[in-house]
Amino acid sequence: MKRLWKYITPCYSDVFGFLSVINHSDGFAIVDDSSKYKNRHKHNYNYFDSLLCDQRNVSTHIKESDVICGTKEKVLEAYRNSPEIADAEFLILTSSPCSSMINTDYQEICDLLQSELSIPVGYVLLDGQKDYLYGISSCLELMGKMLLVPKEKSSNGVNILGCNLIDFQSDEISEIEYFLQNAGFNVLSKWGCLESVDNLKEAVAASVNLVINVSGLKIAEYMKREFGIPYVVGCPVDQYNKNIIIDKLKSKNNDLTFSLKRNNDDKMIVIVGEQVLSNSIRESFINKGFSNIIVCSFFEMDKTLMKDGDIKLNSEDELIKVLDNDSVFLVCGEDDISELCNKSVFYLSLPNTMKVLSENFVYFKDIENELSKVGEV
Amino acid sequence: MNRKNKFDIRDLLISSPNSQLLFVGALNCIRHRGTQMVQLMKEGRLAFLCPSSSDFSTGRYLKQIVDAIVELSEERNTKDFTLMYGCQLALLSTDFDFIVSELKDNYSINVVIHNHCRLCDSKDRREI
Repeated sequence: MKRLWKYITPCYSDVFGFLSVINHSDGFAIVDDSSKYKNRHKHNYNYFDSLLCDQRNVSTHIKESDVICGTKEKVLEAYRNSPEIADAEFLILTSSPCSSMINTDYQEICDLLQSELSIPVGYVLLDGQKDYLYGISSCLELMGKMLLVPKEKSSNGVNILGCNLIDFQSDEISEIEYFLQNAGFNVLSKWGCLESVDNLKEAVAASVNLVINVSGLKIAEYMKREFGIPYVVGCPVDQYNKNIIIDKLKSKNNDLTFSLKRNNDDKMIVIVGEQVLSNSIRESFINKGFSNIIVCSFFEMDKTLMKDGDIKLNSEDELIKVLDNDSVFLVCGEDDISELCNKSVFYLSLPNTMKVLSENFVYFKDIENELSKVGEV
Repeated sequence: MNRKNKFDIRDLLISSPNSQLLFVGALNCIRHRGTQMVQLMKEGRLAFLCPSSSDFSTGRYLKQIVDAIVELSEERNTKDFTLMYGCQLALLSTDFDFIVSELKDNYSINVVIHNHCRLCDSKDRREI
């Protein structure tokens, strides 16, 4: 049944994704919700603890009557009671499941606050019902709109977009940065992780952007539209993908370098996960000689990045139907999905970073090792 | 109750060893007792139903709840359910009596409603 989760544990919500960006920025957020977002995650996912440790947000603590009468006064009260905003570089308001139901006029509140503050003020509408990637991408797009102004270009400047601290660890992002620097690029800014506003403002000087996660696509589109900065999409999961990414960045051309020759007789590989990561893993398999590979995702999928056979999943039932196909011989996905697979298929574990609770941890940096388990054909 | 005398959602399942828990609400609500919920899910005792905004605004979520409980009842071979819900259902003044009677009369499924809404500060609210 659609929207019923019986086996696969739910991912973090859009509001959590939004806060993962804000808490690692120089900005501040007011969340129009009934209670504060605390660091209660004591499980052993060590970097998610760090994700919520620096709380750069407050809640409006709305009650039932506020939702009926309007939450404007509670938002303004939260603002007045938050001296931290004085030191922030920007302020973003956001809604939550309960406040989103009454369509509070956040633009009016922003206009009011903007008249009092010298920093940019904006809002994103979230309802707590979408996945964390939606919250991250909405937040990054708004930050781009608030912070970026035209600048002189740097010929080797590049920004890393979508490097959020739910899907990546800080040291993994540093490795990606190091890999780009070794290839002769100057990383001007990183969007999604710990980064200063001063660096983010430098982003407009880039000659090309690298989108490593679907949460970076909105800000990449914005920078392309407003400042003419082209973007390349790809996740450096292994050396083969790193080479492709460098070629694309140097040519500033994001055209996909592979074409899939679908053959129904072929054994099928199913990759279930975030689209940019999954596409990069697909390229690795193609390099190994496989041809019948589909990407499925419960998260948002960009149509221009989808190939024939790719599926935007809406329910567990849809995934089970895909996995029940007799031609499937290899499945890549996070651990919960392995329980839905036929026991005879091979299984490669992908990062399960989006989960509220996971028992076996696979990190982004482990993927290359996982891929090496699959030989060439 | 756990040793700190705080609410544990596992307590809701103590009365019947075969009972199931269905949480209906937004992904966002998982921040409350999310770890407990996911542990119960892995044990096959809990499922999540996450209706969309349009499901709520059209009232479609009422049918979704009934369908979800019927599906779980058949798959997991139980007739005892506890229903937990998020603030959207409270704000919409959901007629839980209707859901309970619909499932009881048509499918012989017993549903207990657990009132715990933080937003509405309901009488039955406990520390979540």
